[in-house]
Formats: sequence, C-alpha cells, structure tokens
Amino acid sequence: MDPPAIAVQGLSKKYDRRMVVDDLRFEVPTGSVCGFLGRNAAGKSTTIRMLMNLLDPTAGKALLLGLDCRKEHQALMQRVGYVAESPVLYDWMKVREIVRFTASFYAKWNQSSVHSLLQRFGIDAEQKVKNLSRGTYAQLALVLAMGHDPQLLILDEPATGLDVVVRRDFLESIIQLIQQEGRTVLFSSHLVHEVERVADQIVMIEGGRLLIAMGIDDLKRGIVRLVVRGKSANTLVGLPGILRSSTDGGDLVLTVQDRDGRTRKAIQESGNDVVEVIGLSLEEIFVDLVGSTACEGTG
Amino acid sequence: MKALLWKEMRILRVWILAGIALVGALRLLWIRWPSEISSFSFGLFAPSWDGLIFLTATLASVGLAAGQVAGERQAKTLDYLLVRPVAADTIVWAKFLAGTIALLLLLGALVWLGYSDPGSSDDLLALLVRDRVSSLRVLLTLFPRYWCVYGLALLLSVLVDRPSKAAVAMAVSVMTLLGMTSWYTDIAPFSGFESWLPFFDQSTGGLVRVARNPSLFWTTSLVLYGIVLVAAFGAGTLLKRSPENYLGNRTLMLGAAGLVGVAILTGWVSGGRLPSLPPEEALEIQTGSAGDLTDMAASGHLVCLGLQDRLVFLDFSDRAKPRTMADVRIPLWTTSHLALVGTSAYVLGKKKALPTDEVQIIIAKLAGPDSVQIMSPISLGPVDPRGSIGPLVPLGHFLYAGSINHRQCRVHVLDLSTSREMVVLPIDTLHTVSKEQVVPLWADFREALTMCLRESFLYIASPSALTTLDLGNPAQPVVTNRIEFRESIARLYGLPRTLLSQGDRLYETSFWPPSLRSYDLSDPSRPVLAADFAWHRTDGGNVGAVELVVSGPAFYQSWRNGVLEFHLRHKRFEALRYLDDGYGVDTVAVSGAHVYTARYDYGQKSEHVDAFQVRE
Repeated sequence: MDPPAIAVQGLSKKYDRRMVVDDLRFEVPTGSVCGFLGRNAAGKSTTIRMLMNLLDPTAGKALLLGLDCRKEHQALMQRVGYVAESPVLYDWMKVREIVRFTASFYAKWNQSSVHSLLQRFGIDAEQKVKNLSRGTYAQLALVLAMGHDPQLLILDEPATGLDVVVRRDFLESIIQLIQQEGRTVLFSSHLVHEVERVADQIVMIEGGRLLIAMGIDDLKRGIVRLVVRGKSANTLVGLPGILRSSTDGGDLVLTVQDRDGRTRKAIQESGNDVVEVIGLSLEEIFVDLVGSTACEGTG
Repeated sequence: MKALLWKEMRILRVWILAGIALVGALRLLWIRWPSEISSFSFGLFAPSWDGLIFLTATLASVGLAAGQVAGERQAKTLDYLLVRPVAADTIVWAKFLAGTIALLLLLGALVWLGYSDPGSSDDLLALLVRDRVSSLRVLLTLFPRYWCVYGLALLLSVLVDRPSKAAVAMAVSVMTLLGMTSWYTDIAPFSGFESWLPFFDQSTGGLVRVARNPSLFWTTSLVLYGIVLVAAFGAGTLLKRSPENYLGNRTLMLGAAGLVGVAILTGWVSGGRLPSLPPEEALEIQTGSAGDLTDMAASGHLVCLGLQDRLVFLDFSDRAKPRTMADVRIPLWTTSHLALVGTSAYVLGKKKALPTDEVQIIIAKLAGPDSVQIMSPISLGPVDPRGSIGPLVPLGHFLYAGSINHRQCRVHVLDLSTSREMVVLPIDTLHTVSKEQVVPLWADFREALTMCLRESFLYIASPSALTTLDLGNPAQPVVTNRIEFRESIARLYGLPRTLLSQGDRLYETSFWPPSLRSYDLSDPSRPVLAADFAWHRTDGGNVGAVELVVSGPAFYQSWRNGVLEFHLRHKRFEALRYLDDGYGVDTVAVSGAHVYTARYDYGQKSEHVDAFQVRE
C-alpha cells in the first residue's frame, strides 16, 4: 500500500499568543484529489505554507510523498508543484524566459507538455508576464507548477481575485488537468462548490482545528438531515452526533453525523419518528459543520 | 545557479547602467566646467572625485544589496524561488555573486573615470592619489571596503521584510562607521584604527597609505574579505533556516541604538586610553581681537608674545604666581616672526613707510619688570607684496632671517653687535609655474621658507630644495648641501614644510599623504633621506605651516582642544599624552621641560597662555 501523499502530524502555528493552526492531523491518500476547505482565515494558507516550508511550524511535522517537508525540502520540490494564493511571478520576464528560468531548477522538465498547455491557454510565449491578463497570469502560474510533472500538486485558493467568468474558465482548466493526469492534488478553497466538482477527499478546518477529514462519499453518507416527528422531539437536541437543529412546522429538523446509524436508533428509541432522511450537498454539510463549531466556540 | 545568476544580473543591470551613466555625465561636467565645480569647494578637498566615489559606491553597495532579499520578500517573488528545488543559501549566493559583479563593475568604472582621465587635473585629491598609486591599486584597496558594506547590507536584507528598512538600517551603520572613522582619527591619532574601518578619512591620506603599504593592504583586505564572506554565509544560513523570520521595527531600532552605543563606547575607551595632562599655570593677556597674536617664543621660564605692534613678556618662574613682566608697544605695525634668547626678543615685522612698507627687525631686551629696552631697528629693505618674510633664527651675535622677494628666497645674515646686514645668501629661486597654467595652492608663498637650527648647521626648507648652511663661521655661512625638492603635483608647489630636529635626525613635514620625512644627520653637513613616517595633520584643511615642535624625545602638535604629545617608537608614531587646554590652541612654544600654548578666549577677549610641565 502506498504511503499517504500528505501526512500532517500535529502541525501547529502560533503567532504571538494566537494559535492559527492548532494540532492539525490528517492524511491525504495518494492519487486522490483533496479539497481543503475552511472559511476565510481558517488557517488553510498557513497550513499549506508550512507544507511548502515557507513558514516554520510551531509544533508538529508533515510528510509529503513520504518525505519530511522541512528536512527534505529540496528533494521534495522536484516532485511537488505549488500554486500560491495570488501567485507572483517575475513581471519583467517574458513568458518564454520565465518558463526557461523555472525549468532550470528541475532535473526533469516536460517542455512539450508546457508548450501544449501554453497553446491550450492561448498564452503568447513572447509576451511579457506583466502584460498578461489576470486569468492568463493565473493559468501561467499553473503551467509553471505543472512543468516538472509533479506527483503532488498543491493549489492554494488558485482562483482568488479572478472575476466570475475568468474564475470559471480557470477552474475548468484545472479540472481538465487534474482529470487527465491522475496525480494527488490538494486544492484549498473557501468556495465549496468549486471543490465539490473535483474532490474525492475532503479536509475541513475551522479556527485552525480539524473538523473532518474523509472521502467525500463517506462524508455525504455520514452527514444527513433528519425530519423528526414526535411528542418528545425537544428532548433530542442534546443527543451526540447532532450538528444542527431547527423546526419546520411541528417537525424537528436535525443535521446529524451518523455514519453507524446509532443516532437514528436513539431517536427512534426515544419514541420519535424519523419521517424523512434528506441527503446534503457538500456546501450544506460545510455550513452545518462550521456553524456547529462556531456555536460551540461562542457557546 | 546559472539561471539565478542570469536573473539577478538582469535585475541589477539597471543599477550598473544608471550608475555608470550618472558618473559618466558627472565626469563630462567636471571636464567641461572644472572651475565652476571647484568653486563649490568648502575646503581643500571638496568637491572631489574621491567624494563622488564615496557617495556613489556607498549608495550602490547599500542599494544593490538592500533590495536583493527584502525586495523579493516584499514583492512575494521570494516564495516563487523558495518552492523550487534549490537550497535557500544557493539563492543568496547567486544574489551575492551578482551583486559583487555589479559593484566591481561600478567601482571599476568610477575609479577608471576618476583616476585614469587626464581631464581631472583640477581635482587635487584625484591628482594626489593618482600620482602615488595606480588606478588598479586604488580599485583593489577600495573594493574590499565597499564590498564589506555590500555584504553587511545583504545580511540586513535577509533580516528585514522591506528594502527600505535594510537601506535605513545600513545608512545608520554607514553614518556610524563614518563618524567612527573621523572620530577615531581625531581622538586616537596614530592608532591605525581608520585603516580597519570601511571608509577613509582622506585628510589623513589613508587610501594611499593602505594602498602603498603591502602588509596593511593585505591584512585589512583579508579581514574585510573575511567579514564579507561571513556576512554572505550568515545571510544564506538565515534564509535557509527560516524564510519567514525577520526583525521587527523595535529590534531594528534597538540594533541601531546598540551600534551607535558600541561606537561611542569604543571611542570613549580609545579616547580615554590617552592620559591627559592639565596645565600647570595660566595667564590672561587682554588683546583687541582673535587675530592679534602673530607668534610666541619661549626661553627658560620667560614667554614672549608678538601681538601686532605689542610685545608681552610673561614670567612663569614662580609656579604659584605667573606674572606679566612687561607689555610694550614696538615701532612696527605688524609682527610676523619672533625669537627669544635669554631676555632678548627678536621681532621680524613690517613698518609703515613711504613709498613702500619696510621689513624691519626689532630687538627688545627685557631689563626688568615693566622695563624693555628697544634697540634701533635693522632694515631688510622694502616689502614685496607678493613675497614673504621669515623665519628668524638667532645664534650668538648673529641673526638669520629668511625672505622671499621677487621670487628669490634668501637668508639675511645680521650682526647684532653692529646691527648690520653682513651678507645675503640666495637659497632658492621660485619656479615659474604659470607655464603649466596651474596656480599653486599656496600662490602667495607665505611661510614657504622654514628653518631649523641644529648645533652650527642651519637647515632651510624652501619651495624647491632642502638646503644646509654651515654656520661654522657665523658671519659667512656656507651652503654645504642642497637636496632638490620637487612636488610632482605642480599645485602643491610652495606649501610650507616644517623642519624639526631631534637627536641625529631632521624631520620635514610632507603635505600629502601626511608624513614626516626623516633625514639622517650623521654627517650634519649632508642630510640623507632615511625614512618616511605616517603622520596626522590635525589642522583640518589648513595647509599652512604646522604647529609642530619638538622637546626632548617628544613631538608636540596642536590637537583638538590642546596639544598632542607623541613620539617615534618601532618606526611609527605613537600618541603619549594629551595636554588639555580646554579650547583649540593657536600657537605652541617649547622651552626646556615646559610646553606653552596660546589661545584666544572669545569670552574674555584675551589671549590665554597655559604652561604645561612635560618633564621633571
């Protein structure tokens, strides 16, 4: 069995007295496309910057492709591609120059792939980087991150700052690339629907802490919405696994994390009926999970 | 590495081209309007190509490095490099190599333009440097110093998050180092401190001194190269260890304060190493204005001051009660030189006369308290407005007075018993320098003639020669030796060269780089040039005669707010004591174990004379 492509082991980052990332632990299986979800300032970029050795962790460590991201950074970077949030390239270079410059760092560089990607995105190699539109700029950053055929591609909110149309085009190009290559991808975003289209794994964090890390199908199976009818429905709110509750007419609507069916069984044993089980979209799960954490935090 | 170097050179190309264009344009301005640029001069050496090199090279050293890491960090392009399979220290070394090439090119262009171009003939310092050191040697001497600044700026660039912070931090460091260079030269003369600091105080001729001294050149260069490499290694290691850690504003402020503190502390310690000697006795003499004092001479415990048309005799024999013995007017409208033998003062000055003022010698003999006997004056002829008179050397019944009259340097031999001029000896004829279309700095040749009496030989430094007179027959001196002297820079022609004798050595001051030339007097009739010792002029831009006297084994020179006592040890000068007068000294005289200083007290509007006992 392959080792996980990403193994985060108790990673923490503290700025002054504020824990930005707190004892984060998760794994991303090799070959998967992992959506790294969290609200703004949840600690996603900080985590990714620690994985890329751009920040020093306060505690913990991370293994990428089985290598320590700090100690074996140089060897690792031969196998990892990274597109930063709002990537910055050398504006004064021509596209041709920045491709050649970037290629010089790698032992293997797939020039034909780069060339075809540039063509696919309609990027003129003789154009100066500073003259590219924002969308093309982001596409060029993606091409440069892919040139060495990385086994692991880490994308940190790669479409940030792009307008809706450009963003859609850009995401389409990412999806095409991911689908073609079948490499491990960590895709960070706060826009859940973007992730849902491509991800088969989900890691969700909030306030620097891990909320959930699992396959997207398991997640969707495990978290459902139940419509409960019964006399003692109000007594159910305190049951374990209930993430959110609301009322709809005389019925109680509960979002539950119930992979093994225990919560549903407990509801029925308390004399209430589950009249409807509703499957949730990733976005609804995200809102309910993050909402429950926010309630815990404030409560 | 090759690609990184290409990228860095592309970024720094702007610096190199802009620097060379700016310097080239200035060079053209200099050649086109030399006199207009020189007219901005504040002293002897400003503005000079040397100053331009300092300014440009310092700015380039700091500017090149400050943005190299901090600039990329601010622009976030550093992240682009750090996520490539390349070690962080390799990134720094590529930057360092590119910065070094850029600095070398820029400095090379500056030195080449400044010191290899004959168009710089109006720039005295460039001429002085070029006359003594090759352009390549200048470059090799300057390069490690600016490279060191560059290396430290690169280290700072890794330690901060914005290039402006690195530049400001480095500017504080450069200013501190500059202050230290100037301050150490001032407070610790002859210590050699300034050779180790990144900059030269050009008034000390440090650049030429280091460039010409192989051991000093190599040791300072190697140490500076070492500092640069350690700084670059440190920069690489810091970035490799942690790309995100940099100093906050508070730490930077503390660092700057610490640097200034260390500079002050080391200066204070260095300054304090020199023992200070307070004056033993002091007297005040009321005078009209600051410029009244023309000369001072001492004999035994008697001190005589020439104050325009006044002579004042001071008695320092009673330590508890020094007193003014006499204060008399003399029949001269201004005195210029004074000699004192026993109680007799010999005064050389000018007397108002028609149609032309006359040069006269007055002999004033102190007969007792408030009693001065003035002999009939001896006339040396009319004053040449373009000439000069002096100095004056008494020996027994004879007096030897120098003069420059109608381009002739002469020594007048006067018999004091008959008050007659016995003979006039021609010593030197001033060159005509106008052929070279160069006006000497010292075009009026004031004090261009200096003399030193040792036993029965009189040594005379004139603009073109060092002449030895045998006074075996004092009435008929004979020239026994003449060493031709020629300043290779025509503009330095005629600058006074003070002469001193100590033991079997004769010392002659050399203007630039400041040094004392030593002549062996084993055969006193034929001085032989023996050595050249680095020395400090402490009179700033004043190129006139230096207040430098000798007493016993020590030399005394006006310095800061008093007098510096120094001696020659192991072939180099070494400061011994600081005779602290409280204010800048105008004149120094020695007699026996005492050094007398005179300075004008602006508050009291009086001349303040202090006596220091320097030996038991």
